[in-house]
Amino acid sequence: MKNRTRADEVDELFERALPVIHSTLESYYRMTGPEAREAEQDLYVWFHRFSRRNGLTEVPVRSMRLSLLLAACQYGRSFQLWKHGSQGLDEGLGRVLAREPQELASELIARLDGES
Amino acid sequence: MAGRLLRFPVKPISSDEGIAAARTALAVPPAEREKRSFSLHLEEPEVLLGVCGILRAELETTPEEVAREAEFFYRFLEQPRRSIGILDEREFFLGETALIAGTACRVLSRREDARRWFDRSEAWFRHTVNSVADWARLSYQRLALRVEEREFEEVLELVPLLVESFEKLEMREDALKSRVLEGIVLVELDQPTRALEVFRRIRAGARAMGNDQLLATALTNLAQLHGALGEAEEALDASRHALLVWRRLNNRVGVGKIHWGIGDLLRVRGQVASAIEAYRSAQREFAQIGMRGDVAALHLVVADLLLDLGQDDAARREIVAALPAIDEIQMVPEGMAALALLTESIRGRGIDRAALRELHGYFDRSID
Repeated sequence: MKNRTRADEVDELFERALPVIHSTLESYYRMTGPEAREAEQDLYVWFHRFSRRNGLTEVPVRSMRLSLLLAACQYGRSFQLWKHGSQGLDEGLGRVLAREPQELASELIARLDGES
Repeated sequence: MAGRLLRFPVKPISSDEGIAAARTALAVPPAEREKRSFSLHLEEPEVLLGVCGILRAELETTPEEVAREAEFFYRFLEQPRRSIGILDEREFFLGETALIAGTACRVLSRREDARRWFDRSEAWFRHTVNSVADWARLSYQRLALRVEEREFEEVLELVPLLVESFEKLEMREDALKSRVLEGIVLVELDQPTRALEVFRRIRAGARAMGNDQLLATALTNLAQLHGALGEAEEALDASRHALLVWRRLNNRVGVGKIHWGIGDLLRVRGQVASAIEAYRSAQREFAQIGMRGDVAALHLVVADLLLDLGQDDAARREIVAALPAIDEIQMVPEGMAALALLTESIRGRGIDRAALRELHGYFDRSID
């Protein structure tokens, strides 16, 4: 059997988190399907590089879940702020974007734990 | 980060390609590098990741070069504002290159520069996704600087908090590395038994993790401690083992420290001429990599030994050789007072031995 590399572990964690990331980007941050898929590709590339940053190369991959979900929330928020600026935001999206990504990411971790 | 335009890379390069490109970029002289930034892929995060890894690994081999290179990349990323990678990557690389530059300056005893770089690093790490972990690594460097500035009480209070942070973040190697600071402070506070215990625990932990750098650090400190206690067999055993690892890692700071430790052992055993020879070897090692503070400290140690041998003129020459470097290094007021006393005494007839010893206490061995 092939030995699992760290990159494989990063892939696995990303795949496990992907449904939560996808629904957060689409339902919460209201990105369109193609926008969300593009975001997920970016997050995949980012997360692989993130796991190889100085200081993190020895850290267990499982403990990087919060960082991944936080990155997804920051991505969704930054994207919508860039797309809409401060103009034309409906009240619901405005409320979502006013919320701290860190707080939402912590809720998503609880959701992931509940699903596993 | 709010409202920032995100960049969507078309085809990311692989990590192996990134490391190879980083080596190519570092081989180009800095003056030419910026002009060739496009062909050298200097804005590619994989390349920057490779650069940071290479520079970090070289900190104790060529610290002057690392300081220069880290500064180059910091300036390159900072101005003009470039769009680097995805999400927090620009901020991370700015914080990381500043942290590396600061660490190199600390190794070189350029303490004011180190502090300035650490402040820059802190400012950029404020915007990273994993800022808690990034700040914890920065806190380690700041604490190491405080050890070098002999703020021992503060370090003893803060190390357990830092260890706890690293453990919560599951950064076990960094947690263990922080214990080195505690061990060094215990040595300075003349608590060798507790210090031995700390370094033995670090040695065992490093072995279990397979971390050679940390293992050699523990062995080096054990060698120095045993040497100072006159325990020759244990000191030489630890020295031999550490030297093998340092040479394999091409860590010249480590090699220098081992020579220094052997000098201490020979000195305790009364083999003054051999001790001076060992100190000279350490000095050569440090001089070649620009560690002027450690070179100066060793001049003072040798001066002290020469006084034992009744060679006052030679001792005076050692002190005079040390003074310019000492002058450049920012010291605490007590160190400045000892320096003033010593300088005054070498102008007169006799060298102030107490001031000499007090002063070389302010130049303790640098920390990894």
